[in-house]
Amino acid sequence: MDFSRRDLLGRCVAIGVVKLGAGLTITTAIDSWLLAETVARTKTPVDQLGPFYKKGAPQSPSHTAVLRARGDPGLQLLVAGAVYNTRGEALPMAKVEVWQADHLGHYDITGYRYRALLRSGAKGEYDFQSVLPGHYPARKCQHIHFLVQAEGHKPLVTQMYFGSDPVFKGDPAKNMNDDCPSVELVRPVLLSDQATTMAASATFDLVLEPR
Amino acid sequence: MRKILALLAWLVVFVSTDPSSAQTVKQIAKLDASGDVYFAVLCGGGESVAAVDQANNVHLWDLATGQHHLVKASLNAQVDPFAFACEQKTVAVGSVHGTVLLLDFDGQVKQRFDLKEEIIGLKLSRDGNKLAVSTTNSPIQLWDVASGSREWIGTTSFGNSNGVRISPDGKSVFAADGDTYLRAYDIKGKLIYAAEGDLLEPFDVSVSAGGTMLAVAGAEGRLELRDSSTGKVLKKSSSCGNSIFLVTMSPKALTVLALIVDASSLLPAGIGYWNVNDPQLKQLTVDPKTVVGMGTDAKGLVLIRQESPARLSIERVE
Repeated sequence: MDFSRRDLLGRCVAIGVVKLGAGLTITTAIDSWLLAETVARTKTPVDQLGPFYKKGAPQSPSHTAVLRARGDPGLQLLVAGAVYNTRGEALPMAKVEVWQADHLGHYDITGYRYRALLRSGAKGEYDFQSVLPGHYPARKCQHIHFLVQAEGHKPLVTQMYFGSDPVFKGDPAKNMNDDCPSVELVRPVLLSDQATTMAASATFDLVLEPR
Repeated sequence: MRKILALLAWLVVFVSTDPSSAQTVKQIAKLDASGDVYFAVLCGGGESVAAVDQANNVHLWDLATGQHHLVKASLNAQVDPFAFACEQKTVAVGSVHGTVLLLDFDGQVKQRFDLKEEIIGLKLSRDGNKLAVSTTNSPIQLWDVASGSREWIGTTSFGNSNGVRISPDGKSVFAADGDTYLRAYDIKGKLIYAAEGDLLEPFDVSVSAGGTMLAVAGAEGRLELRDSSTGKVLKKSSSCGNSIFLVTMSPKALTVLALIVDASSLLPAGIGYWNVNDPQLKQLTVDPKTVVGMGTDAKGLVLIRQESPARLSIERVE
């Protein structure tokens, strides 16, 4: 069984390892403890919704999704991260909607290729498998769109970019492009050899503001 | 909007289409120009034409006399093509870095706002007193021109507003929103309705002269005629298979012009024409690479084309 931090603290109180001071309830004590343990996070910079948003993306039943189909061309890509708020609390069950171009820079307007809606897991985690998006004439930088919504928080519309993108000439901090609003959205790319296929992975945590 | 920057290639790119049209395009004026402009609008119901070039110069022409006047917009960033409006001797210019300038026809700066977000759409009220603004990341905003203050900001479920318009009577404001809704506000900012759109984003909305009808279009590639008081869809055109970035409805709400862009490259692909009594969205037999703007005067729809760096042609579409 996988106990949450809250469960464990509750058990500590129950068996007397943690004792409560006068006037403290278990709930307020644990809330305060958890708050003290969290690390405040800076909200993720916003970025434009863009002209290719399409509602009704296929919903994944879990925190993970597969956007690419078997045999799809392009460099395989795994994106993983977690959803937090600016207090540093993980946000489970957040709606994470992603959409991107295929490896040639084409968005699927008529269907839902490379589009998904998933829900973050118990610790706010999410991940999806895709391909590295291509460039297209109207945008200089490779990017993936995110729309993140969680109860009690402002919706976050943003995009992630890739440090490997030739646009950044190997150093996004020095070679930022007007097409990308913040270097914080540019993520390092890890290449790995998966048996016969080279694959890329990148992490992208999403931090929402409470309402 | 970064997508709009693709339209800077408007003058140099032609995407082949299959136009079929019985519409006529008649020249009503020729204007001497001093170089290429990339976006132009009609001012004052057709009394004058305003255009912006890539050096952020604002060109003004009196349509009756053809007199040309040049004004420098002191912006240190590119002007988005649709972030340009003109009414009542006032020109509004918005930059990709978030600055909005309001200039009079003598080039005097009446107001300057710094919104810190890329300006993607500007529309002045007919009387020139209010300015509706859209940016890349926020809902519609309404500004008072005289005081230079923001009066209100609208709402979306997420994302920004795309095209915005103020009704001709100045009482209502409309926004084509990225969350796929069309929203209407009263001039004080009270939300009147949020009408659900299609699966894809609407990019622009146009209001009939009487204020009763709206033309709405976007990534779905078709035009919709909507009742402005409720947002209800009354008629829909066929789809052109591409996105529509800009719409202009004739004063009597019988016909609509549309700027069609290729859904993949976002480059201009044609000029759509829709008679609301015919479901087919047609395309004019004009070369879209020459079209720099569209609008209406009291008689109907008007195209603004750049025939050459030295010449603008103002044409009526019938």
